[in-house]
Amino acid sequence: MWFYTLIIPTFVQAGWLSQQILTSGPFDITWLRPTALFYLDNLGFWSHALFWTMFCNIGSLLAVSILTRPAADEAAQALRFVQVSTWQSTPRQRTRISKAPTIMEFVDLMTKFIGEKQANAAIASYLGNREIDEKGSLSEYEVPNLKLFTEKTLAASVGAAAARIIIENYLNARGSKMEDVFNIFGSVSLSRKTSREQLGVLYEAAHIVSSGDDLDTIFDKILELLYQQFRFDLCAIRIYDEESNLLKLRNYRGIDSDFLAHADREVNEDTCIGTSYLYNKVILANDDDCRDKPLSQDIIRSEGIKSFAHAPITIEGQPIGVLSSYSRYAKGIYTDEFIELYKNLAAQIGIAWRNDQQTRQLIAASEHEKELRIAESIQLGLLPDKMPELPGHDIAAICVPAKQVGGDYYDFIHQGDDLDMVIADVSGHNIGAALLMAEARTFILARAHEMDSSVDMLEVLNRFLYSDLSKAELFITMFYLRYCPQSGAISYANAGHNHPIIMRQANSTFEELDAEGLILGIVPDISFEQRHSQLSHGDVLLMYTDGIVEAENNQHDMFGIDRLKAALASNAHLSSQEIIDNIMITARMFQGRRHFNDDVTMVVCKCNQRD
Amino acid sequence: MEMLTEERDNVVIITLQEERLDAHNSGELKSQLLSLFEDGKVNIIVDLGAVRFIDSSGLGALVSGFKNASAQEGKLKLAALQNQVKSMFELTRLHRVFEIFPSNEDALNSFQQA
Repeated sequence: MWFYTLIIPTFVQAGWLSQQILTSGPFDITWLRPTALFYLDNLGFWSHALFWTMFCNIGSLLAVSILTRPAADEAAQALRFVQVSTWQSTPRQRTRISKAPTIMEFVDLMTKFIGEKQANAAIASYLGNREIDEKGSLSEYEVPNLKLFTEKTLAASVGAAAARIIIENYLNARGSKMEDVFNIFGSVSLSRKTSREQLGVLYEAAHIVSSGDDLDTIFDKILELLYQQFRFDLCAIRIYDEESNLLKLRNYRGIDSDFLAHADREVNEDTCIGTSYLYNKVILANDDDCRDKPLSQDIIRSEGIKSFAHAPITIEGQPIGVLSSYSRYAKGIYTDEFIELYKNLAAQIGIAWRNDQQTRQLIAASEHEKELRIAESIQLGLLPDKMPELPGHDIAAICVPAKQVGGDYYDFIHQGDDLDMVIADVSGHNIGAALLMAEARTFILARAHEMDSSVDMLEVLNRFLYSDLSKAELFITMFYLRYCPQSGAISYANAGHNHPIIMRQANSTFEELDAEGLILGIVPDISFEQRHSQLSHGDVLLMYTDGIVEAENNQHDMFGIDRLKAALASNAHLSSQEIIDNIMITARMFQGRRHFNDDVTMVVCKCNQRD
Repeated sequence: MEMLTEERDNVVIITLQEERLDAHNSGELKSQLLSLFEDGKVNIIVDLGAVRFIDSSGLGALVSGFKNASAQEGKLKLAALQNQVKSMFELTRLHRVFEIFPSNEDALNSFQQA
C-alpha cells in the first residue's frame, strides 16, 4: 500500500512513469489514482498515504484475528494478559476454602504426624484464646490462622519444608480419592530426620495411585519410582493367583529374561517371598541372612543378589501379594526410615489394586445390566405388533417383561381361514435365551404353512432346536393351538407348558387344555399327543405363562390357577383387553406389588358370535 | 445356597436346604453338580425335601445335571418332592425323564439294585 501511494507518485514525479497514472488513474480507472485512492482527494500527499497504509494494516490484523482461532498456549497467554487488567482473581481465592476444613480435620492431620496426645494438647493451647462461633466451629477468618498454626506445629516435628508440603497436599486432597492414600501416607511416623526426598517419594506415589491410570501403568510407575530413587537393580510386584496357588509376577522393573522364567513363587516358607506373604510381614535381608532357606539361597546366588526387601501388599490388612526389591551391589541399606517408606509404598499398591477391583465390579454390573436390556429388546421384538383380525372374535394379549428378563413369547399365524396361536417360555435370563426364542419363532413362521397339525409343528421344532437348546442348557415350554373360527374347533399339542383355560359361558365351567408331551430341548425325539376341543359362542380362551400363576404375596402364597380362574370368571363378560387388564390388577393386588418377579404373558381369545 | 453333601456307597446325596430353587440360586446347584462330575462322581441323588418352589431355572439346573450324569453313564435321581414341586415336574412332563423317589433311602436302594 505504501508502495502504491508513495513510491509510484514519486516515480511519476521523477518522470519514470506516465503522468497520466496520477491524473486519471491506471488503465483510466479514476478511483485507483495513487494520490486519491477511492476518491479520497481532500488529504495531503503524506496524510493520504499514511491513512491508507494504516487502514490496510489494522484492517487485516482485525480480519485475521476474527477469522482464525488462537492456539491453546496463545489463548492462555492472552487470558493472563487480560486478567491482569481486571479484578477477576479475587473470587477465585475465595473458592479455595469454600469447603472450610474443620478443627477436627486439623487435629486428625496433626495426630497422624505427632501423635494424638500432642495434637490435642497443641489444639487446646491454640483454641484457648480464640473466638469460637455459635455453632462451635471456627469462624472462617480463623481458618488461615489455624492452618498456619498446624503448619508450625508440624514444622517443629518434621521440618518447615515438609510441613508446608503436607498441609498444602492435605487440603487439596480432602474429599477426593487422594484422601485414602493420604491416610496411609500419614501413618508413616515421620521424624525430624525424614528427608524431603523420602517425603517426595511418598507424594509422588500417592499421585500415581490417584492418577486414574490403568493398574499396570500405576504399578509400573511405582516400580520405576522405587528403582530410580533407591537405585535398586530389580523391583517386582507379585500378586497371589488363586487358580495356580502361586505368587505370580505381575509387574517388574530391571528384571532380565532369565529371572522372568522362574519368577513365580509358591506360597510356603521355602522362600522369603512366600514367608513375607504367609506371615504378612516385611522381610529385609542380606545375602548371608537366609541360610535356612535353601531355595532362596539358590536364587540369591544365581542372580548375584547382595540384599533384598519384601513387603506384603495388603488390602484391609490381608496380604494379596508381595513387593520386592533387590540390590546387586549394596548390602544392608535398610534404615528404619526406609522400612516405613517401603511398607507404605506396598500399602499404596494395595490401594491401587482395591480401586481397580472396585472399578471392575462396577463395570461388570453395568455390562450385566446392558445385556439384560439387549435380551429384553430382542424378546419384545419377537412379539406381534398388532392383534389378528378374526371376524366375530375379540383377541388381546399382553407381555410384561420382569426386571430379570425371562423369555416369554406369543404369536398368531394365519393358516388360510384357520389361526394358529402359540405361547412359549424359555428358561434362562440372558441374550442366549432370547436368541434361542428368536430362532424358534423364525422356524415357526417359516414352516407353519407346511405343518398339518400342532403335533407335527412341535415334533419338528424340537428336533430343530434340540442341539442348540442342549448346548445352551436351556429348554422351552410351548403350547401350540390351531383354531378354526368357522366351526370353533381347536386342535392342540403341548410341550410342558402351563395349561390354557377355556371358560364355558353356558355353564360357567372351566376346561384345562393339556396333552402328553415334554418340554423342548431335553431329548432329540419327542412324540406329542394331539387333542381337540371347542370354542363356542361366549366362551373365553386364556393362554398364559407361569409368571402370572407364580406371582407371590408376602405370605409366600402363590396367585395360582384357582385365583386365575376366578378372576377370569368375574371378568368374562368384558372385552378381551378388559379381561387382561382386570386380571393384571387382581394379581397385583394379590401380591401387593406392582412389579412381577417373572415375565407375565397372557393371550385372551373371546368368541362373540357364531352362526 | 445352603446344601448338605454326603457320600454313601458311591452315591453322592445332595440335600438342598432352601425353600426355593430359582434363578437366584440354581446356578450354585449347577456348579456344585459340575464339580462332582469333574471328580468322576456321577451317581447322584438330589433331595428336594426342603424345596417348596422350583422355577424353570431350577428345573434347568437339574436337567443339566441329569444330562451330564447320563453322558458319563451315571444317574441323577430325585427324592422327597413336595406336592407343588411334583406338580411342576408333571406339568413339564419331566417326571417321565427323572427317576423320582419318595425318600433318599428308596433312591439309594434303587442304585444298589441296578
